[in-house]
Amino acid sequence: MMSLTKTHKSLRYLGLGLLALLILGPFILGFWTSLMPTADIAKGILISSHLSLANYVDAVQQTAILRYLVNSLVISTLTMLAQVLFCSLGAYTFVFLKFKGRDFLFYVILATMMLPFEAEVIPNFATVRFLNLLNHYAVMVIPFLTSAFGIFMLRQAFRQIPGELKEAADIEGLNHWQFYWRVALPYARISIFTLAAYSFLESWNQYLWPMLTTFSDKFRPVQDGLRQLQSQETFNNWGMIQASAVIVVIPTLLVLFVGQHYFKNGLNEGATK
Amino acid sequence: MSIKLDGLSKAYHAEDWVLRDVQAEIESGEFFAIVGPSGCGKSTLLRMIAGLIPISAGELTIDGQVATNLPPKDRKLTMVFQSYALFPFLSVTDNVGFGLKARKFPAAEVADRVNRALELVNLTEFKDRKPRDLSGGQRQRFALARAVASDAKICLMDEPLSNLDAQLRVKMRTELRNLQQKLGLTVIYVTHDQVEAMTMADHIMVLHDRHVQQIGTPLEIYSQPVNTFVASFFGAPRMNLLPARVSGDEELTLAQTLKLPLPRPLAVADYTVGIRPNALTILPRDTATPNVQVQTVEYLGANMLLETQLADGTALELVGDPAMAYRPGEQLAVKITGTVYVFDAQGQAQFILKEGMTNGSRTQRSQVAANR
Repeated sequence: MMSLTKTHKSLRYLGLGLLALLILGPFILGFWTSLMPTADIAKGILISSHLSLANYVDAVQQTAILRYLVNSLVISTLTMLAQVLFCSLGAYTFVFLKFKGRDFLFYVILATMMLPFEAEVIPNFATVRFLNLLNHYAVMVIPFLTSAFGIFMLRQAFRQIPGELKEAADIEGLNHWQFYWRVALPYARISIFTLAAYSFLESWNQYLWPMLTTFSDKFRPVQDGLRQLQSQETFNNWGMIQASAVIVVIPTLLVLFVGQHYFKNGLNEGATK
Repeated sequence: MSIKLDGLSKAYHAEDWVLRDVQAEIESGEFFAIVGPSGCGKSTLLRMIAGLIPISAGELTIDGQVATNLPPKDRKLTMVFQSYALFPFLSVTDNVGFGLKARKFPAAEVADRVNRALELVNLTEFKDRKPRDLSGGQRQRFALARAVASDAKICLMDEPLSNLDAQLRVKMRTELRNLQQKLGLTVIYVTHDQVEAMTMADHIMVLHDRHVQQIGTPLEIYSQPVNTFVASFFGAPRMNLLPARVSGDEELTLAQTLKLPLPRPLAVADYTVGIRPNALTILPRDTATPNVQVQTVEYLGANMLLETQLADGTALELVGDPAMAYRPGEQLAVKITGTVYVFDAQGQAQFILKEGMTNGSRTQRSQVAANR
């Protein structure tokens, strides 16, 4: 890489910087406006002299945003744990157990990924209403206990486990549960963490389903809560809404920030060869 | 801990045999090598002994106990894999103790056994490292430690040295053999490398084409091969196999040029004659009529490998004195001075001529018949 001159390098970084700015722009703008009084936002000015955290104080004091956060945290955590457990068990079955019709069953599960969620909304709604689950945490967790995508992803990860590891475990006398717990899960932990982060964020960002199935602030998650802030007020307190949006984004950023530590490649090097 | 294979066979589909009627007895404390070219079923056979692949027919006896249908863990054996099969997320210590812990050994005993095993393979100072922080040779020793840590006296090894570089392989060969003798392990060792088998094994089983070709000590395999496959598989440089015909009364003509007197009459038919390169002598230049032409010359240090052609185009490998500076294109006179193996048209050994003397090999022929 000796050929990379200084100008070359700085040009490259300039390009990267511009792209970063383009992506971060909306976030920065949102964060900036969350510090501005609503009057200034309404006037459409960008440079305000009254920057303060007042919007955040208002959001916490006047709205149920904290309640929404707790709701979302409960729902997303439960969904994440359930998906990691059930998807990994399902994927394990499709990789390490042999039974008649195994591959066919797997393709059936894959086929469900073709079905858009919107198409499932009405039958799902009918089901949860029949089960008397409406307006409860359960209604936002139970339909998402497992996911075809998660099973697919972990199946791919488990298939990476060298056959000789399984053979070695067989000779040591490990049963399926022991192999699942002591070898398969740790071996595929990067995929497990990825799935955990993915399912958490997906659940966190749910909008349509909770809107249909929750009717009170007691169970409403954040995304629908944000929408709620807009229509509750006679005039829209944009500054406060923006501050709430920032609060809502924080857990997402935390998950990604913590997660990226685990998404590094190469942790599995040295198992074989 | 003796092992008896009685007619072991494997078919993945009905009547489509990948292994047929494998017969062998492995003594306690023996180093038993299974050798064959890739795809001959040697790894399959090892996994059948381990219990990882079900046995289709035949009976497996371990230590006097029928083990044909026992699950792997009840066969009291360990296995070392080609790719080592180490758990990447565990340290050396945890890897070695993994199986013991899974079998619910008390913690103190696990620690004790792990330490002893690591000491045996000189890895104590690396006990806290992860597999990825070790070199190839260390990983191999570490995989051995895992096998040694368990108290099983039978160790199955599936080409454990084939991922190492040539020098390390030679070194590990000795280490492995010493370890086996020190612990009195019964080792079944699968390899495609005839040199590994020759140098380490007490007995060698040669597998080819779904069948056992021959079982014997390295010396027997080398000096009394039962067929052309075994003859050409063992020994480097490889044995020359020449087409031959009985001509006249008691004479074989090799590749239409070399004459070989026979001690007794032989039925008129086609034969194959095997001569190792070191059983051929190059006569000094201008002392006899040339009968081969040099094609290529390989300098090996102590000697020289000559690829030559007989008059009818049959290839013949010779070993020459490097001081003689043979060149491609040169005509040489060659004489048979060592052991000659005569095989019938099917490649089965008929008899062995030792410098003009005949050695009947009826015992080997009957052995072949038993294996078929």
